[in-house]
Amino acid sequence: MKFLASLVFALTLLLVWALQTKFGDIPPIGKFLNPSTGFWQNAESSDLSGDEELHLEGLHDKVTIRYDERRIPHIFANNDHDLYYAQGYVTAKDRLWQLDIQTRAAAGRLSEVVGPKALAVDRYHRRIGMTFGANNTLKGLMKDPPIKMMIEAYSDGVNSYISHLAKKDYPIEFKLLDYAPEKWEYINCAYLLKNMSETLAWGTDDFGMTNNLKVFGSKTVKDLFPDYPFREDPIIPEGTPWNFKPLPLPKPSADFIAQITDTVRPKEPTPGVGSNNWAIAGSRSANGYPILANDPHLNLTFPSIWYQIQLSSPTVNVYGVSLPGAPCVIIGYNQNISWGVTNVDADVQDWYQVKFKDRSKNEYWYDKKWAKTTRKIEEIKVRGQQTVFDTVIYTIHGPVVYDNPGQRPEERNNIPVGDALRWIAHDESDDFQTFFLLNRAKNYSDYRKALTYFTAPAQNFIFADNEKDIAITPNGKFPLKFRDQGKFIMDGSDPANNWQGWIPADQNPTVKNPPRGFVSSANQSLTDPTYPYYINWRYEQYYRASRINSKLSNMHQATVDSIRQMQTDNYSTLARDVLPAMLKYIDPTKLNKDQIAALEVVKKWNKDYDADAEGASIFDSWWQNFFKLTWSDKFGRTDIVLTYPSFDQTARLLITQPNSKWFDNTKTAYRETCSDIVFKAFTEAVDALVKTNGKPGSNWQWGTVKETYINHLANLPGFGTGKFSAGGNGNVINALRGNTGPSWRMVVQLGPKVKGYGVFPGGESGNPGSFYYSDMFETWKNGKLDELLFLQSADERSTRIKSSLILKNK
Amino acid sequence: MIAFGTAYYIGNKPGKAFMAGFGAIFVAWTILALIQSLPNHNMLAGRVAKLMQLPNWIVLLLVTAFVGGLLGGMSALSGVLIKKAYQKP
Repeated sequence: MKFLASLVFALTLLLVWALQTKFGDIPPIGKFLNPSTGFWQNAESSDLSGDEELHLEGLHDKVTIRYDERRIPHIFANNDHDLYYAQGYVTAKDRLWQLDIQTRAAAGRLSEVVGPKALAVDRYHRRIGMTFGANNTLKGLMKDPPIKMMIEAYSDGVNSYISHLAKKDYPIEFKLLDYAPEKWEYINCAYLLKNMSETLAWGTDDFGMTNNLKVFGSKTVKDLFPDYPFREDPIIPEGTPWNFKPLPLPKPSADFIAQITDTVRPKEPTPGVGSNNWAIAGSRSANGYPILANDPHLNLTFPSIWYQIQLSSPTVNVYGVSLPGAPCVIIGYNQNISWGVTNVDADVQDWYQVKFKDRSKNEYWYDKKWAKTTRKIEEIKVRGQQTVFDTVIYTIHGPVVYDNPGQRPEERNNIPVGDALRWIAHDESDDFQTFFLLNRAKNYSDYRKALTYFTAPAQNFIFADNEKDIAITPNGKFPLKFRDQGKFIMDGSDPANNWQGWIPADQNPTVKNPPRGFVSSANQSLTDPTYPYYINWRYEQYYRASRINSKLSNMHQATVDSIRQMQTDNYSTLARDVLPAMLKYIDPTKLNKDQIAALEVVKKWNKDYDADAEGASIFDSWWQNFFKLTWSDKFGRTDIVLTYPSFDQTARLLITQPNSKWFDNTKTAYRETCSDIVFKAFTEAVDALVKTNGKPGSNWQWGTVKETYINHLANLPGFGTGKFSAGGNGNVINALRGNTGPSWRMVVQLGPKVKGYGVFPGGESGNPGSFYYSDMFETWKNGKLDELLFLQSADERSTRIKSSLILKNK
Repeated sequence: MIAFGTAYYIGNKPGKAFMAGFGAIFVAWTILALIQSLPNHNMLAGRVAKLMQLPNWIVLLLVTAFVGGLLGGMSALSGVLIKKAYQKP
């Protein structure tokens, strides 16, 4: 009896323990399912709780927060310290887990929470210098008193929320992963900037290009990978004069081309990660004042990377989207001005081959002598296992990301072994000062001053104001380079290859009130070839930019709605450019029944990538296949990685050089021509569509063929949208494809009373149990915008105010 | 804990103790979960069900109640058996 009792007792204890413990990826079942402590507690009631008053230590004065029908917070504080404290507090209240996980990802601290499966990505982030960069940036931020105050206040606000949080109220992701939120550190604000740099200022093709030189020689590389595209419509209009005396460019070095990197695959920037912005002058709008529009294209997630907010204090009243983890509004407007951003993609990430003296790697050859390396030991805590210590070797250029092949995991083939990384994100910076000033800007000169503080990731800052000025500035801290410096891997022993200085901020390309009556950018070339400095050899292709400028050129008496409709435009400039040429090569007598039907459809297609367009699916597969058939036998080698030529270059050959040798498939004895390749691409594409989607018909609609979806930030099933049908494509204004696309759409009408409109796919709350988790998704999906509520004071009445939160000092 | 203690003090038959413990927590957890979930229109429960590859939120509710019940039943059973093991015959 005693034995049985003890056994059952022991089993019970075992059961209790098992239900409280995380096994691999499975959360502690007992804890997770317990209605008093587990996920059931995260289910928000549909009855909105009424007004609330809280007493928090660290506040100087009272703060009034109004919530509207989207539960967007409108903060009214009596001083800037309280303002940013409150911003931190409300952001934590809605997005605590997002704050935590994005910090951990940047800092290489995911393994602490999810265990050894995150070890490779953590080591990668440590080794590329995310922590190194965050520490340097923090130094820069903390040297600037108003910015220091802002970061400390914001952090205090976040920590105030965390310190009062009961276990049962932890966000559901903490419960799933079985860990607790930790104190927010000042450096986390810097980590956020590094995250943005990794997304927007990383991923060049230096290795593929270096290998292209090796395999094809410099003449071919100059021909197929020129420094200015075949077709372009640059951000700064052609012919704009440069009103400055440029610094002399550094002299090119005697370059030593890297011998290694046969197993390197270049990581191209995520396609679709780019953006649109444009502003029309008052001369083109119905009310005589400018209209500004911006839609940044990023990975779409629940919760959104953005968080809408209004910030008001005696020094500022601004509305827009913020980035959880950083104070201020990043894209938005105030009573006088509006601004937005698109990515520049400058070449601010370069690789230098390092010649170590010997296997100890204590010294390397630099400037004709041996220099000493330094070592940084990264301590990576791993859940359930021993801490891992990883040593990173640093040179004058930066970290040697992988100093021997054994360190580099399979999925990081894009990093060359033995090369040091020079990356703008490693530098000290004060980027928040730009947003602090833009939030408060009253006119064009305030805008110009704000830009001088910005380092990375470089953005095309667009501007419009009530004085009827419009402007755009590709802006960031740009290294002073010789032409094509950094297009290929460089010799790290020659100081002539280093970054020799910086382009003076006021000499960054810029234009104000151009004669054509609008400014715009879609990540294309910054200028025509007359600009005296070198910033990059290639940018995003001109397809979106061309369409935007074409529409704006024809815009008169424009309203917010004219602009809103433009943001969801699906017209494909690429199709316009190449489809007529491609159709010429199709001989219908050689087609089967399905192929003839498909040909008729694509001939009649209006070139819009609409959700119901069958022609879009046909053209898209056809073009992609044509591209592949043209290049993959030459550039798709598995023994050495080569950068593919662009769509723009492919179009150039199609239209102007159909007899080009490049159309010949080197793997066959027969000499193919453009005609053969275009034809083969068509029949193959149609056959593939028939195989996956049946006969030509409604199953071929673009919305069905294209996979569009939004996942939870951690890809948790059930917490996203699942697949939905939508129009758009990477090269059209409505750049929605897969799970990247317009992460925020905003249109601002300037005037005596500025009016803003905007929406993002998601909701303010990061809690999947909240009715505000994805409430804005439908509006966004239908191409509509919410009218944004821009209150002028804490006492302003509005039927749209649904509840209030008052914060007072303890 | 409660199941253990209660069963220890007043329980006698192991089988009945288990069922009583199981039933008590099964019901308690069901009610507590519904109190959270109904005002939420069972929206979160639906999402978590998908996450855990269950067909719908009701099954999730049953699983929740079952897990709680199991804990309750085992605790009650332990309580009774230990009491019996240390009772004077």
